Amino acid sequence: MFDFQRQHPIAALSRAFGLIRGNLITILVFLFVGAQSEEFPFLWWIGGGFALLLVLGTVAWWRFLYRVEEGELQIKSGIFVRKNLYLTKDRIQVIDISSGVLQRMFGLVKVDIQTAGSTSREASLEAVTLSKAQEIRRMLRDEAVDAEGVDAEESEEEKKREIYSLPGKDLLIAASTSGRFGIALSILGTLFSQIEPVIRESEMFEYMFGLLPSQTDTLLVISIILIFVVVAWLISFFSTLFMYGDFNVEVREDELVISRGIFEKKRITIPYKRIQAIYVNEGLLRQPLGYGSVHLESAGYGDDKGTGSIVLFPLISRKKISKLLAKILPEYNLKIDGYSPPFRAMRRYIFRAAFLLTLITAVIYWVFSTPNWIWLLPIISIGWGWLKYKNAALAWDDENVMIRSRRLSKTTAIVKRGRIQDMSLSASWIQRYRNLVTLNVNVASGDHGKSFMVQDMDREIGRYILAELQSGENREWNEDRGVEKYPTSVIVPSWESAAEINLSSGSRQ
Amino acid sequence: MHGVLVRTHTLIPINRVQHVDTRQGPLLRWYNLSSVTISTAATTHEIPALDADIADRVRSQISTHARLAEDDV
Repeated sequence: MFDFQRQHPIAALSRAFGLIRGNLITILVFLFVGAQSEEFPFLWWIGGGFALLLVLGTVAWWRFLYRVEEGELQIKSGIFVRKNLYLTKDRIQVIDISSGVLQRMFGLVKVDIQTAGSTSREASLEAVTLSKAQEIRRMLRDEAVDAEGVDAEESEEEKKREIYSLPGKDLLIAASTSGRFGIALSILGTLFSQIEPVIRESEMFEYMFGLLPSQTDTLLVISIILIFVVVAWLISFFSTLFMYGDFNVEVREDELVISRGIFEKKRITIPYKRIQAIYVNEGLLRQPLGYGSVHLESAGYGDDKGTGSIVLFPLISRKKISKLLAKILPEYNLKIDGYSPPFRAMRRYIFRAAFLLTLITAVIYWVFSTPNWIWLLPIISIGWGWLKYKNAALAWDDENVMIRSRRLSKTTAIVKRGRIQDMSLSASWIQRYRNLVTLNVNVASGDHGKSFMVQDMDREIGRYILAELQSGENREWNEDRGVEKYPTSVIVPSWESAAEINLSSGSRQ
Repeated sequence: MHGVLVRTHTLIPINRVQHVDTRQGPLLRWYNLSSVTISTAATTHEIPALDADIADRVRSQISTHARLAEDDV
């Protein structure tokens, strides 16, 4: 492979679809604006737009050249601005071979090459044949890990160390309690507001109207809302099903390989040393059922959006989290004493949660004179604030910092102290008066980083942790930290015990 | 440490610093001031409007220390 060559022509199509997917919202808005103007037929918009994208994709494909020479991957790309990308073998950290729907239809694969830098997303071959992908991989990797494409999975079985997959039942639970529900609902909502005038004029509306048993307005509104919820739920159900179907985590010597997806297969390789933090999310629907999902933050690389968050396990029973961590990432399987916010912080939590909603409710109540049940909303939000207060916690030992908090779902984050990019304490003047402080920890993740926050901790505790982080390796600080003065009030995390591991590693008491 | 209503106290471990800049707009230049910007892999922080000499010294000190620290991410 010493000559510059093009990818398989399917790359053009894949590129066009990629552009559509990347700009879906914009395209939809344009479509509906277009649909409302009379002189421009609807189909023309779609056809023309797609043709344009196809031409763009084809030109991009034509101008994309790559070769491997002397352990160096060279890519020339760009339609107007030519870009030469040279990646040396030593700098390449991960080579992922995966395949989307399109690729699989033509027996092709996609090759993603990651380096530590952020340009890594550019180094991706959209569509090449499997044999070529393996050749590239072999040429760019010293330890000849040959034939490790998606199709060659079976023959590799004995080389792999351990694989954890998601049971079918858990997948169904994951899909039905997925948080994508809200997103789907909001997309549907915007869509509906766009097409609503179109529908209203059509006979379809009349037909639907006639179909309903009673034609009172309230019933109509309620049934429309109900339809929305059901459709949104279905969308979220199936999208989660397809996304996390066939989910596997493979534990290797120095990296994790996560593969998932039914139609669009994704494969992500994460070297252990790039993991910055892990967090467990217990969603509103999942928490009562005793389930959560495990995520990790990886430096420099994640999904296409530039965040480094990766789903490590889409759904797991709380009782098994500790077990799973012990096997996959034992250094994150911990249980340490921590602090929850003081009692005087509770009313701040409740106030913050309820204030705006109460105000809005009051305005709506007076202006539209809605029925009394609308006052349920602020009451619920008080409960929500109380939950936020109950769930907030901060814990740390010599090597870790754990932060537990709740927005909608409860999040427990575990960060290695060495991985903290910065930590800040902030206090508004009311917080200063109450001697409280908000703590914020930033870790590297993707292009931007991720922050974990816990609000209204006792100020002294905040100062201690900051001072301790400052002292770095100085472990002796632990003793005169004044823990006696502030007894630990919670144990984080709250899922099933990690006692054995905790004792053997001999961390703080 | 900064802020009037909300006061924030930030700690950046020196071995997390990726690069340090000093910046000077026309206004700051007029008063011979300069801002120091400290970037980590996750966030960027600014020390606004220091005296230009001090800003230069802060920058070079941080960068010396940051270079000494071993870097893994």
